[in-house]
Amino acid sequence: MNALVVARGIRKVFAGGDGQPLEVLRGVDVEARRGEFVAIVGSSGAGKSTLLHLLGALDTPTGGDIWLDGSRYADLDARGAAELRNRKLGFVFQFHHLLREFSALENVMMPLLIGGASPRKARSRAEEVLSDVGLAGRMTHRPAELSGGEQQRCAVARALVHDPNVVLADEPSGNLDHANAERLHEIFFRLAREYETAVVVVTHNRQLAGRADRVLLLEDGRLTTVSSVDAIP
Amino acid sequence: MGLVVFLICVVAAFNVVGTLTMVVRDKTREIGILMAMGMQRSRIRRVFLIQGVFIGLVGTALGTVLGLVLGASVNRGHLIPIDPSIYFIDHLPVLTNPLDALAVVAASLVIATLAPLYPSLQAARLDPVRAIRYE
Repeated sequence: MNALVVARGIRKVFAGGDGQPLEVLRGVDVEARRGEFVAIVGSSGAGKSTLLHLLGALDTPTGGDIWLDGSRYADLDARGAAELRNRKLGFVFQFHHLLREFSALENVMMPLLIGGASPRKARSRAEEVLSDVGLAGRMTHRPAELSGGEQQRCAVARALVHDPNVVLADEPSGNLDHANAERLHEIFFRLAREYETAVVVVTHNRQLAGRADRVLLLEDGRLTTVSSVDAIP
Repeated sequence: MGLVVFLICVVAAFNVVGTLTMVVRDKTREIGILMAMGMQRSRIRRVFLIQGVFIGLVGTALGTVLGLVLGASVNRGHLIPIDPSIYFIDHLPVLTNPLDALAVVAASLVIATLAPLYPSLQAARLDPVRAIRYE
């Protein structure tokens, strides 16, 4: 198995508002290989973000198994799951979710510092990645002092700074205008290829989905491969 | 006297718990983000414990210094005048008992250590998915 992240038979059931169980994912299989860009599309409420949270070890599935680089999530305790997130996973959220009290540089240093890297090493690596996303001149700025596009590029830098095996992105350009979204996609694709990171991105953006190696449609709790973005309903 | 000190300590404890609970609520999303980046729950708990203990230590130090200075000033400057024809003295003196002061300081330090336990546990128990979505 040369896939970095593998999910098999994933089920997720929530308690519905009326007390009835609501099965959001019904036996989902998904995998992503090193350097592969996988886009997951589907209507709002289809369970895309839920799937991403499960792949990111932020939530536990009701059924099925997930492996990342050989580690089975079900075998990990809370400490193991946190370590896995810190070393092997990166997240990009729709609304950047940068820490507002810290500068762009400190935000990007954060995953490395949490992982125990020395401040000097973390700083040097964060500066390198921030330069890669075109924010060399904005490192000391706080998130509120950055534009929307810059905030998302900073979030991408934070997701990639620790060389994760997999980056999980939830609507990374959903909050950006066309030009900024295009620039973010460009940087995201280039760096993911450069760092050989597998990327699983949840998106409504057909342009972004169209550039992915594989497009998967989540519908009625099941994932199906889509031949091209034109086939997305 | 003991009852008054006890009540003051209870109020102080509620203040620390209340302040930290508000901080945890205010920082919910940030806690979720840190969890997504792999921060251990024990470390998040420690952050809020340290903040609570720090608040308690600073409060105890400030309170002790201010109390002693204020007491001494009242005695020296005769700041609380009273009628000598009734009370035989012309000002209200403040008696500073070192043992009382030590007891209050010790009680404050115990509160500073115990009060942040509950809010810090609350922070560490947050569900990361809910925390990230918290508005």
